[in-house]
Amino acid sequence: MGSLKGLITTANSKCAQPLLSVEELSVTYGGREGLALSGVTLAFGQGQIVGLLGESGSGKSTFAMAILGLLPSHAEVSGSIQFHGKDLRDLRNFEWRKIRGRQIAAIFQEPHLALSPVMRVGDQIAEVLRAHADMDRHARKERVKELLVTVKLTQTDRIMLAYPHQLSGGELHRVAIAQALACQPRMIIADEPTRSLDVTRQAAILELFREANRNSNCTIVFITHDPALLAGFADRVIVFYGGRVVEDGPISQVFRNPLHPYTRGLLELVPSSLQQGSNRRLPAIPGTRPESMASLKGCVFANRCSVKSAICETEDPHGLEVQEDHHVNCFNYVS
Amino acid sequence: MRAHGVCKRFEQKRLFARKISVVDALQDVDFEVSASSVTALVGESGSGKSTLAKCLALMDRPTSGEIWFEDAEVSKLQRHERKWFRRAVQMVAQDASGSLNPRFTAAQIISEPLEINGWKPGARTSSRVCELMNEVGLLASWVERRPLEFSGGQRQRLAIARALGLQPSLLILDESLSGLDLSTQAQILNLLLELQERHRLTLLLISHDLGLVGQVADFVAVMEKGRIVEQGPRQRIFAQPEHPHTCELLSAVRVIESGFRAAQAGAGR
Repeated sequence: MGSLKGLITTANSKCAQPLLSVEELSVTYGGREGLALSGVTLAFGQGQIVGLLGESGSGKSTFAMAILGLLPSHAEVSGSIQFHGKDLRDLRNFEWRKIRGRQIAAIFQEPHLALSPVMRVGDQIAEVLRAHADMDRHARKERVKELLVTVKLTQTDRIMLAYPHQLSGGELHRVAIAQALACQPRMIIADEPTRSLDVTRQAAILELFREANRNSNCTIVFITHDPALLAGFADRVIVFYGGRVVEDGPISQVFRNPLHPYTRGLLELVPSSLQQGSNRRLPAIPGTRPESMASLKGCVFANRCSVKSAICETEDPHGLEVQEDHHVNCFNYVS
Repeated sequence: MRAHGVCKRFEQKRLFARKISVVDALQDVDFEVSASSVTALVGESGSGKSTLAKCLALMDRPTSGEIWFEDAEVSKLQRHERKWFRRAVQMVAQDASGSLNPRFTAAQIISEPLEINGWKPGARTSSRVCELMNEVGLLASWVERRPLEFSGGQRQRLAIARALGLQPSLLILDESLSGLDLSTQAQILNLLLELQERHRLTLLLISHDLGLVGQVADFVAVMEKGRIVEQGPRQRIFAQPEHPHTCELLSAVRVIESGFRAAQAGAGR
């Protein structure tokens, strides 16, 4: 693994020091699962909206879990994770409790799984406040109402008294976001938060994230497999494949000029149903990712790549800066 | 397949209360699926599309109305009369993981419908199983694996392989693509199109994502609150939508697709 290097991303020029700085992060599970994440080096600034783009198994969720300290105990983690000057790798449980919910909030795919079925929703949001903020009961209630209004749930009395099963899917999504915003965290990690939603409702949820970012300048790390969601939403995009970062940069640059063949293939998959003359076959990326990544020599995308050459089978590509801030891990990238 | 005036009402009786809450999941649905076509049935959650799918697959009985398949009215058939229908019409459900027995191997999953229809375990069945696995892009050497050992996309392929076993003429896919990555969705769609051409299948794709299924459908039907509000050829629906709900769905698609094209052209946030 010595030859593996990730990409170095410099922080947004707005802020002096990156909020989150990850270096050479690798996560391995012993046995069949193998290598989940390999040599990832990234930095996010305060106030950025960063999109982590990749398919299932690309390592994006593992990355999120590693930052939150929620990997299973048998995961072997190496590398460093610095958050606001603190090394997250060394934290003990009681120190984590001050970070999770307060400084870093998380929203996952199925909001109804994040909420207890036997507690009223208002109480659950208040619970976050009780754990982290010094407020009396009345102040907490007011804050919960405020949060519900922020996520556009105006029937605050009904929602606060409701149990999760009494709310619709869309309402539950908003409640999960309200819970995450409760303590005004510095960073929100959202792992595929809109996946189970209808296409028409996704836009509204993205707007809530945008507003949260505008109002409190919190960093949003938005994990998805769908590039179309990130357009017009994220500032930067980081493309994951096979446990590695293959490309990253400002979103307008990466989308306009994708360098890595995987990124190019992925962007072609965004539906173009409005284009007349529907060609029935969709442009799919051929093949599937290799089953075992631990013993892989060379580029992880080689077996599906249309521009590979001999070196791709033996050497893992290093980070290359192409234009300011736009990096790619590929020997044969095409501009 | 044709549905005529199909209604489906769910009644909930509350214990000790006089009130019965009634949900009209389907109201007077007239719907047609042309042979050898790809038809898309789109609608938001709660619009009734899964309920309609279940009625068309005869997994649920409509409260009233008729369902015609190959010139026969099928909704009132008794259980023993439905066997031919079950061979001809197969459904792949939304949650493949839920519909695959986690304790069965892939071979057992695919051969189950065959065995129910009289195939004896043996060389002929095994070779048919391998044939089906290859058709859907799974390696025949994986026959002994269990569903958990497959990825989400592969489980969908497995469910499709099982559905193809009895050589159906109509395949109903109820939200089978949601929850999959874009690349897996594209691969599965391409697979379905290939199978459709090879076996002259009729495909009914049910989805909330008009952009996704609109790429490949010949006909599109739009549902809202238990009714079909518009149906017709795909070109016409996309170019000249008439019903406000269709316009709503199309504009959501438009926002996403054109937003993405704009980003590709270099527009910032």
